[in-house]
Amino acid sequence: MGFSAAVAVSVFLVTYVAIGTEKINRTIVSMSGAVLLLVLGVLDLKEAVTTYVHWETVGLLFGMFTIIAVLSEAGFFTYMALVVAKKLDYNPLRILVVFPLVTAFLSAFMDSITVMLFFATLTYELSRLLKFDAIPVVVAEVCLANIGGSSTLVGDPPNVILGLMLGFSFNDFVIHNGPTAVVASLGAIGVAYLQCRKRLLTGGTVDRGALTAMDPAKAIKDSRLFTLGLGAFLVAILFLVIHAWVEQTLHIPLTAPLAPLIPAFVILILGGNKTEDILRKIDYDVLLFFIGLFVVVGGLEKTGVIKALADLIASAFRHQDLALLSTLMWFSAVSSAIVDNVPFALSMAYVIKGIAGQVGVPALSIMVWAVSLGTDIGGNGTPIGASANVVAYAAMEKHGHRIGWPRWMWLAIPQTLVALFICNVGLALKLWLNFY
Amino acid sequence: MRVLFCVDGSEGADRALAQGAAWLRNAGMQAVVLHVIPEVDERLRHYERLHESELRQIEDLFGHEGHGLEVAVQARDRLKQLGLEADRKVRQGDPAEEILAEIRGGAYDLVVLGSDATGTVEEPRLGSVAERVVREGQASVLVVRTGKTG
Repeated sequence: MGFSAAVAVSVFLVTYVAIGTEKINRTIVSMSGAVLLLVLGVLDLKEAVTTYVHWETVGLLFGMFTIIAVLSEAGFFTYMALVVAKKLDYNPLRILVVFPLVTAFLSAFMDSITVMLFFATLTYELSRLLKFDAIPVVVAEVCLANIGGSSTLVGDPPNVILGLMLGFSFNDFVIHNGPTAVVASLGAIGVAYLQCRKRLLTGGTVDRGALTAMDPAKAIKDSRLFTLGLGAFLVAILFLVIHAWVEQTLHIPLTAPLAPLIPAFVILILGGNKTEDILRKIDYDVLLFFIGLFVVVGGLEKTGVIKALADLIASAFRHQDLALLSTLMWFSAVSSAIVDNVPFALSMAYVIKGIAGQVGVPALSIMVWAVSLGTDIGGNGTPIGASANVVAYAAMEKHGHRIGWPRWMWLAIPQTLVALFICNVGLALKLWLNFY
Repeated sequence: MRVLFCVDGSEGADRALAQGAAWLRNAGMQAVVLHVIPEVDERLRHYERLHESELRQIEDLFGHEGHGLEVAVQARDRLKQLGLEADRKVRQGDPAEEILAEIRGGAYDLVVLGSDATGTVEEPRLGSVAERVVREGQASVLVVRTGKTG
């Protein structure tokens, strides 16, 4: 291993561990790693910015974040949760089943962190009045949010990275990961129901009066912004569905990142005096975190470390397609439960691209589905496996509901294992049917 | 007698509160309920800042009394049901540090808290918070065992 490769590996490992320990802000860690690689001469600034930072990913995330910021500002998430709770007649058992399915659906199209910030808070508030244990509901919501996120290109950052870097569209994800994610969601919610149905109610006087008097429409802070945000969101999804067709047939360069960026900028223009509030809600830290990571992982790619790893994996699993796919999925799942899944997905994007260039290995597409499902869903296993978990866990703790690692794992691991088992069967089926 | 009941929203702390109150009901005490909210995770704080006004709106919609105050209010109500009047206090930070600070400033005669005791009779082990309060607190401490003992 040459000096540059050794430096690239060292910087990557230190960055990875530092992100995992969370002692220092992860954006500072990833940007410091990137700067270190530039200072040590592994990469120069021009190639880092033009070759390794994947601006399409950054652009798509910025567009989606803007639209979600508008929906949040308008009161969409609170409105949505209150409407659903009312439809469920404020029945805790129904909430246990349906709220997680709602988070799964929303997280398929939106950033699951924002979804969970609101749903954990709202579930806690409902649990106070309806006297049920909010913890199993919130854990199921997180698990389903992460599973739902695996079903589309925009559902989870690892999918954005894998899809855009390796050339897979929104529709590819919906067709191939979508059905698997739906079945996995149903499996996981079935487990959650069996785990908690008898112990959900905590006893005490239920304050239904306060709830039935509550009008969900009151949650809408700004009806114009609400309509604009919802319209922009639907347009973004429509563009994501049709962009490949528009590009190929009409020769209009409507790329995937432009799908959310166009409606996002339209609302920013039409937002009037709300524009500044919207811009303040955008998670720029995450965008910088991604930019730093692109450079850090780019160091591994440039120095040949990724290629060496890909060669090693390909030779170990030659002509053992199902074994390779299952290993990719379970390894991704376990890794994501322990450390942040973004740097992992980014590294794996290069690794599976390297594997796909070899003889006797599965097609790149099915490896993308395996890594995506494992990375997105595996994060459920621990409270730190994904940012949505961290936020929901901390939000509950803040409200005086200490979940603790043992209880989280007791609740989440069976749901996760069932979901991953279903995904593994789904991958085997796809391989058998040659449908990938 | 000034008594400090420490609660954290857990079932164990609730049991300790009820048990302690039952034992001390006739002691003629002046009770205070304390809930220490742990430091909020940095990532949660970041997202809360981004969506601050919407989260405040949820609190308003649900008539929330403020983060963490709820646990202290519920504990105070529980004591009231048991026939005891109590004040409530909320602090934020490391639970052991904050309980010790409250003891130092509050001139308490007795502190009541729960502990998920593990270990055996020969080698008892308290939880880390209970252990520090017992060792360093400038008041008598009643630790109500809420976990299993070996």
